[in-house]
Amino acid sequence: MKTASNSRQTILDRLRSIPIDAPKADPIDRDRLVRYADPIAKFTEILTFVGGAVHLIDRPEEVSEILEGFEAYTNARFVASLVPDVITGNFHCEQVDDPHYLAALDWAIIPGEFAVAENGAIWVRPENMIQRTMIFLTQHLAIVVSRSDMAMHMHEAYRRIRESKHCGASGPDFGVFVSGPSKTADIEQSLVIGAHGCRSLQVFLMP
Amino acid sequence: MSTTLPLPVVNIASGGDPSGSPQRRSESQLPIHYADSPSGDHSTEPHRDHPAMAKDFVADVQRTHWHDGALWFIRNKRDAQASAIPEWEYLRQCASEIKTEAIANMPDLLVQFEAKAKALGAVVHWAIDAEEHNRIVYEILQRRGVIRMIKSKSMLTEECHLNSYLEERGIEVIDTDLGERIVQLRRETPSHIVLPAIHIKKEEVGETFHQHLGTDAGASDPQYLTEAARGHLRGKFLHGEAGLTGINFAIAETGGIVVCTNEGNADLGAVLPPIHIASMGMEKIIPRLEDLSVFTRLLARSATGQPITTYTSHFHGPRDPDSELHIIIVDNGRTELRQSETFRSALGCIRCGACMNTCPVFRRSGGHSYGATVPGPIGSVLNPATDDKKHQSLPYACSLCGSCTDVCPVKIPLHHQLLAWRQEFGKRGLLSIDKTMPMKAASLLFRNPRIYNLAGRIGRAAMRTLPRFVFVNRFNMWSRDRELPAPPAESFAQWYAKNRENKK
Amino acid sequence: MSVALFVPCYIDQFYPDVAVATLELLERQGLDVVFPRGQTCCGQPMANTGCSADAAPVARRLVELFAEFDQVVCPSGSCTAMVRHHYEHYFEPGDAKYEKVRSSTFELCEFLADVVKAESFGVRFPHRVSVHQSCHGLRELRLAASSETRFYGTRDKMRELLDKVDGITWAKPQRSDECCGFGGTFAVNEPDVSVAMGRDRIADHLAADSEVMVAGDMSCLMHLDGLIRRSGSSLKVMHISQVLMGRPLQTHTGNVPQSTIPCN
Repeated sequence: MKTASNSRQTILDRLRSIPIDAPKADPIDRDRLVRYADPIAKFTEILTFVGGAVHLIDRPEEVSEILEGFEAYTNARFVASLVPDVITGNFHCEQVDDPHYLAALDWAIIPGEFAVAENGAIWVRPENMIQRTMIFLTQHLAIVVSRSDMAMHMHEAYRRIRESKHCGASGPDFGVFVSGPSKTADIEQSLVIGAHGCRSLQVFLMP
Repeated sequence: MSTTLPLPVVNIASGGDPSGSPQRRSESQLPIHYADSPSGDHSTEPHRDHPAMAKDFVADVQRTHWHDGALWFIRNKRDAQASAIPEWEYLRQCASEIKTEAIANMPDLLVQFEAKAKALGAVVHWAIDAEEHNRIVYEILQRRGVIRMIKSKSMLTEECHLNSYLEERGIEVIDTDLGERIVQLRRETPSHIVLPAIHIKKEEVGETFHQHLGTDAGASDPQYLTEAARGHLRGKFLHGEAGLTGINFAIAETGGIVVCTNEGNADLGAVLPPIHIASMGMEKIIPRLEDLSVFTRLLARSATGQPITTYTSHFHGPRDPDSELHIIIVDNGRTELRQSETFRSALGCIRCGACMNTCPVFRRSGGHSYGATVPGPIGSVLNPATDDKKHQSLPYACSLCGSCTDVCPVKIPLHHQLLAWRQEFGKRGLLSIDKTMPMKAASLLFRNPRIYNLAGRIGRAAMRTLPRFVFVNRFNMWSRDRELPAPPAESFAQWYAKNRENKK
Repeated sequence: MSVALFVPCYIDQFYPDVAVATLELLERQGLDVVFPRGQTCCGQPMANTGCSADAAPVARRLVELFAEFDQVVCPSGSCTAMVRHHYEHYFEPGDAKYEKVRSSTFELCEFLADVVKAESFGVRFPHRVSVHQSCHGLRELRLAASSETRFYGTRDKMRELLDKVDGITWAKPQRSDECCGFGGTFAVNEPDVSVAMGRDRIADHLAADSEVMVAGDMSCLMHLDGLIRRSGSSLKVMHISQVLMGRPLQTHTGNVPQSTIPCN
């Protein structure tokens, strides 16, 4: 009868039975990495390409101004905002303790930590399980993120994640790169936006 | 902890499925047909080798062109992404080096990962084989009285035949990746590791959804069908009692796991229920957080021609102190593959599927013709390690064109490994006589130039004089669809003797 | 300086004109060419089947035959790749003859482009040409950049040579370097896929309105020509050596055209 510790030991013994010599991978040569003259333009190009919408704004009020222009927003019943300084919602997630109740959410407006130029991605760090669920369960998602000091590429992104002591460095946590609305092409390679996650993604690039 | 949840007001799209209604449970109670299954042979047909299966596939010329075109389209998208990164080849080199390091240091990295993951609150399990993996999953579910599990894509769980194992024990398993759900409802196996339903036409999906989801008869619009699936699966997500995901990368340094999806199904499966089970083949381990920068730049570009997957989720510990995260590290033949100096690098595979998209044989024979969970070039390298007799035809399902090696983001020398398998079969004495006899004869011939030259003259003379049917008949596989080369009166050696040698 | 000619078995037996054209090409470049007698095969069919024990003696024979030469030229990417990349396990480490042959064996196009640095061929070939990129020459010998990789600055050696021929107009197939489906014994082990692959290549070249498909490997062309002739299409196939010698466009009869036999 295989017990947990037996299997562990057996596997490790098998792995250790032959010493394999291999050099440590060289550190990445930063000089060989792509640089964009205009990272914001690149970010916008890529995110638009994958079905997201990018809005360059200077004042926080512009967020609600722009959202009011969407029928899906004006018709929405439940809007949750995790950026109360920018926009207020009517769905108070701090009162929710069961993530299933977020299924009713039409819109979630959340903060992003930083954007990544090469692939239109934004690093999002929800603070708890409810905020985390919102990202995936909401019908429509909007992210508010600063455009200054955009990461050029993923190498820069992970450097920042390390510097911010995220990804387990300060205890259990969750982080996700979001790039575009959810999608699938599983039916005859036809791209359909809005698979299980959000049906649309608005990104507001603040100064 | 309560296992029945109050039903909130759910915004379900049209065609939604209020989960729990009696007629919907039937689909998961029927046995699933798998190509190969350790937990009992579900297939009623004997195993057919690749050429036999490919023959059937290719016979439908139009469908073959359609399948080939669909995958070539993805290959083109991949090419466009490779062009967008000036340092593309440098990244591939970095990825290859990181995986080489990870494979070499695997025991220490796994131990480091385990310690870090446990410190964050995860439970780490080790499974020697598929059977043990399935048992571990079942025990986790059983202990908590779970009867409904939602699953996102995991090729490892396909390899272990987890679904049928759990279903036999009364657990409803819902595959939430749309392609996986389609094949699950059709009681088929995925034909591609990234695009499980690539072999299915939209009209066929429409039929399946009409039967199981209540969509309109004859409907085939992908938008409409996806919307129906969204609603149907949303219900499943909300009523799932446990979620199982795969793992794209496990970070030794931090104890975290990374899951990449476009649909968001892995995340919904991981965050809604209080139990998250994450299964990984041990080779998914990478040393450092920074290594992810290389792989996140290569994975989606290679797989589907996107800059990055829509969601790249990093899980460090369970979602909250009251929830559980179980990580299962699985061997199932990987330690053995690692012993081989020749094949070890195949463990670097990040399961992108680029090799399948580019392989001219895969595109024209379909994933099911490989008779194994992982098909295509990488499958043809991995499968013979588990059963060399059963999978003997796979390394020969290859023209050695090398395209797979050139697209592999981690630079696995796939076509050289396929050749190495053929030589390994030769060493093991597994080659059939119809392969070995002609080669022994050829070898003798080529060692004896006089006989070689004579045989050449006689053969060509025969081709010029004997009736056509002697050479063009159903026993000569070449001649079935091709003309033979026209036999010249003189070989080059004969010409040279006349026109150069004698002149000296 | 003498150059040895290594003629693949199927060219020797079925396409001798390709070897004649290769010989003449090298002679025209001022080289003294030797054809070592007694050569037969590089051993690739046996090796690719998995019969290493049968391939080994054939490989050793080839090395023995060619070890004395400083340069060996072969009009086939796949045979050249066999010698340079796949001979290792037939020899003891440090075997001097093997090391010599491995570093001295060149495929024809790379030899003309890199070693001889041929400037001109003095021929006209006024036809619509489409190139079939044979896989071994492409992905093993890197005669050109493969469509999969992004090694910038890679030269296209076949194209460099063909650009020095007057009169060629280019037809471009949609898929620049997809495999023809020959693959040696693959052609008979997986006949259905092999034929499907070949037919797709032919259709692609025909759709590009090509008159003649040119390749560096006659084995690919043998398979494609077999399909072409069975289908009744008029698409021609020629080895690059034949184009560089300005051979007339013709269906492969297998015989050497009369005009190339020297008349002394």
